Amino acid sequence: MNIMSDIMICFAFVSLTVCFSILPFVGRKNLAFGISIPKSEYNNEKIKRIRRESLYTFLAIGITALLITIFAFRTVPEAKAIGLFTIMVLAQCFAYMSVFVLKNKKVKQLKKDLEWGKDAKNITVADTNFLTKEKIACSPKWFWIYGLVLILTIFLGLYFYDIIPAKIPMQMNLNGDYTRFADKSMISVMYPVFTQLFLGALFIFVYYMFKRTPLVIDAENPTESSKQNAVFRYRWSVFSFLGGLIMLVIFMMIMLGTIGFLSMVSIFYISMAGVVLIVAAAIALSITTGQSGSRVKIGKTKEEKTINREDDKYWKAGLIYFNREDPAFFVEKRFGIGTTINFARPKAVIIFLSVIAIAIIASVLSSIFL
Amino acid sequence: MIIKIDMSKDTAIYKQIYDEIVKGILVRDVETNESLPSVRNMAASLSVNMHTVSKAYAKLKHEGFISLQRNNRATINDKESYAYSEEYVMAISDELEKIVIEAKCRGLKEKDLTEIIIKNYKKY
Repeated sequence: MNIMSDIMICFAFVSLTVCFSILPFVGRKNLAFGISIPKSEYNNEKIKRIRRESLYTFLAIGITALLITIFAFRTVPEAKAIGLFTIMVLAQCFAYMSVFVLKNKKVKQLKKDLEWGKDAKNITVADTNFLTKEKIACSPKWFWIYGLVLILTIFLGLYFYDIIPAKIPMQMNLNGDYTRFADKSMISVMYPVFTQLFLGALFIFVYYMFKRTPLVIDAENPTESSKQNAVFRYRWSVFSFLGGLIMLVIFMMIMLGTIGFLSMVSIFYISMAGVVLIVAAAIALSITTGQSGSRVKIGKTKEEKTINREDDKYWKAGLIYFNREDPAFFVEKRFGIGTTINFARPKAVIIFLSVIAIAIIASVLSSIFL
Repeated sequence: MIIKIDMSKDTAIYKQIYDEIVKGILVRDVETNESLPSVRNMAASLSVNMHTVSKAYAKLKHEGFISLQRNNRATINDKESYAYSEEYVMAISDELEKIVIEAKCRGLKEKDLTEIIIKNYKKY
């Protein structure tokens, strides 16, 4: 293992740690670890302490995972390195989720002890303008550009098919060396196109989710909150379009690499730059916008003992939304940025599982046949 | 139009939706011929049952405020369609009677009660 893989590991773990560590701070002010609280209690000393504690725990977990991985990389055989890396990333995510669930329980108890739920108004708000008139996402027409990139990639593969070498690189390790090759065939040459199709569909799905999730509007400042929501949705819809475009272009570069127009090293750096850009943009966007624009400053807020949508009981462990009454497929997340699904809607669950299934099936198929 | 529902109130949710939309029509947050969100979208936005919204829309239709198109689109009717009828006057007279009875029973003065009505009438 060399310096390059260390940099890669550091990047992966640092970005993962940063992504999770900022979560308690970018959420709505009327939610703490997935529990609805009166906005006026957001800066309550006890809540503040729980947030601080979670930050330190997140950082400690991140640093530990990073050190273990870097150390372990020097002891395991190269073939197992990627597997170890994946396991460590998953373990880190799992540790973060556990911390969240524990903090969620703690806040729930605190809410009960301090009787925040008692005689607080429980208000839910809808802004019909966003359901009938106003736009909350960039135009879906932009996604035609995906089609262009796709067609161009297919064209490159077909046009230069004859000059493509007999062995096609399929997998790269963290050092930027190829570890697996496939025999040249229409399928292996078109591998980047299949990946583009999947990624393109995935990003369009994310765009669609951002567009279709009902806005959660703050009861105390409905007008401002609507605007914040709109800013949030618009920015993330642009992000999902651009993020997908970057990924598609990366796979077009890989096609160029397969043909032999681009060197292995340059593809490696281009893809890394693309991924770093997407991660950095996501973090920057989370910090500046917050969940549903909670960090976008629009007007002043008055403080009242109001609980926005007392729906704690529908959130299992603050993470999974299950509400049979609610016809919504997608709902705004309680913790973190973005949207999640209503697990009480079978169709939504099917969509969600099929996205995961396609990813797994595709990677299994490619490792069997290519 | 912003629809605000207080789940902790005793008033039924469908009635609150109804009241909010009527208010929206009065203050012209929604204009004649404008569409209301679909039942599904409205219910999802408020995270309430679709039947609740259907019930509110059905009542709005019954009272002449909206029409439900064949594609289930709800649009606001013109003023004439929901202008008050004798039936309506009788109905609110009954409602007001109940309110007056309780208010009088609790010792509220006639002047104070009428003042409340006048104040609210002038508010919009």
